[in-house]
Amino acid sequence: METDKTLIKAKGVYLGGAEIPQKGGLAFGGVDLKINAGEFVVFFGPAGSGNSKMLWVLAGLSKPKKGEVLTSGFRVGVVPGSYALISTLSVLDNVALPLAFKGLSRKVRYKMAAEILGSLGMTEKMYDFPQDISKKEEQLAAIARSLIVDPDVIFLDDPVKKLGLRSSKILFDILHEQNSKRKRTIVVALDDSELFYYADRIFFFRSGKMIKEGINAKRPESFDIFNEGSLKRSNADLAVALADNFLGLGDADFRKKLEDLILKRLEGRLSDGGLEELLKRSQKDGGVGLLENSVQALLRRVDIIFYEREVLKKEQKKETVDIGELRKRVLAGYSKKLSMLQISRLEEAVERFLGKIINDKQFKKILSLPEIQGGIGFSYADAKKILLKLNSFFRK
Amino acid sequence: MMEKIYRNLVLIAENNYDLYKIISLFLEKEGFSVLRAHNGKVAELLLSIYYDELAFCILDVSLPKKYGESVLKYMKNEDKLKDIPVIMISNLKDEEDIKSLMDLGALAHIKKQKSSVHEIMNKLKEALISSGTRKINFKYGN
Repeated sequence: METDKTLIKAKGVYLGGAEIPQKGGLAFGGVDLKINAGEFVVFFGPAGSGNSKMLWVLAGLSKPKKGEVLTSGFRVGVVPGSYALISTLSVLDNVALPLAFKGLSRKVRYKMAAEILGSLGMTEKMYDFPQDISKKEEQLAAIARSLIVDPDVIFLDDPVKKLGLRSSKILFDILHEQNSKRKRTIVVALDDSELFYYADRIFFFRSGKMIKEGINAKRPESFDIFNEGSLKRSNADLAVALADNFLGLGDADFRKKLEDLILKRLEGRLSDGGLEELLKRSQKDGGVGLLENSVQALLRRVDIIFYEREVLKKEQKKETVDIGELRKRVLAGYSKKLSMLQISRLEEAVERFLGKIINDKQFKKILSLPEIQGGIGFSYADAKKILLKLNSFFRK
Repeated sequence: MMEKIYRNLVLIAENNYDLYKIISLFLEKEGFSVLRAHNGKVAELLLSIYYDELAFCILDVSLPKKYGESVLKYMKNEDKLKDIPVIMISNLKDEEDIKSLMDLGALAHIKKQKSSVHEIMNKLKEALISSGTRKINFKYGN
């Protein structure tokens, strides 16, 4: 997700703290970075590298020794590493607490808190106290508490420290949803690379300095493009998705180059051989410098897209559907022999179903009723299978 | 007198999350800070960024994307990485396979198979002590 809207800009932020002697003098230096609205950003680094500190500074909860942080005005939700739930309050009270400072009535506070907890699957644990729930539930409660103020940006300090892999992934799926559907900006400090997958950009921190910025090309959105089928997507979207599939953490420039090449090929401005040659050519000579295996895999994907498009074009030209042919395809794999009566009834049912005269339920009923009652006499399970097959043929 | 700098960062390249968590808890208790790479390519990326802070590196042999063995070879060919002690973890049964890993320059090898957590931790401790890496657990500016 790339937007031009800069939300936070850090200029020469000098992260104070312990002055640990390092090879190049003192540990902490100035950090410059920008975060755009709607981004999912990871600050990666070990303990003491300054990644958490930077997060606190950007959230406005810690003051940098030097430098400045410019923001364009937003609501902030913070989830600290220790969750910081109040142990004498129930989960519901904890989540509703931030609203008390807004002057909202108790009834409204509880209603909003219950809704948010419900959306995170925590309804059953609402009246429990923090010490009685699991670490994962504590984390979800802390997230619910940050969400209740309807934040534009959520800052999370090592949210998976105390969680197992499954809980971590559930948590990151929730964050991903908040990011992609609710358009919230997410900033996370981490020391585990497993969760890079969810991020748009990753900033690597070392000794209080941000020393590398990586773009994560394999973020989940790009996979969706293939799931929805390559046919409905524009050339530009497909080029981005394909480039993503062949790069891990890469340079922005390098990625752009690959995207451009694929786009040219999809638009027909570049031949198959031309693309292959440019992909193989080293970066020094103006190519991309991919390895042979990757080149072949990429070319195959491009081929598949062209093939799918051709098939679609042919299907669109066909105006009438051959019911007899369709019946045979639907029954492929069905071993019992059908009588003429059954065949004619099946064809009729298929025709009526395609003409939207009958719906799924009625179609299944006709198929599963005994012949004597005007049906075809399939078992219910077979009727269901046939319906599924029929639907799958027309999904595209 | 110039102060001696001790390193206390460990890179764990291990795709088994539970094993990584256990090792990282142990190491953090010993005063190390930990980074995790979940595949071989990320391990190389992190090595290139954090190389001069690393006390040592724990590599699983069967990493996705790039085998631990290849990462080890890569490390031994790079000037800035070749001195970082590497402890390999694997399910290898064949002694010859293990020997070839050691020949590549690994400091020690730990078998995952049929080892309890306790045994793995003990072997890790032994390897650290024998290599002298364990001494790194000092305060800064000694």
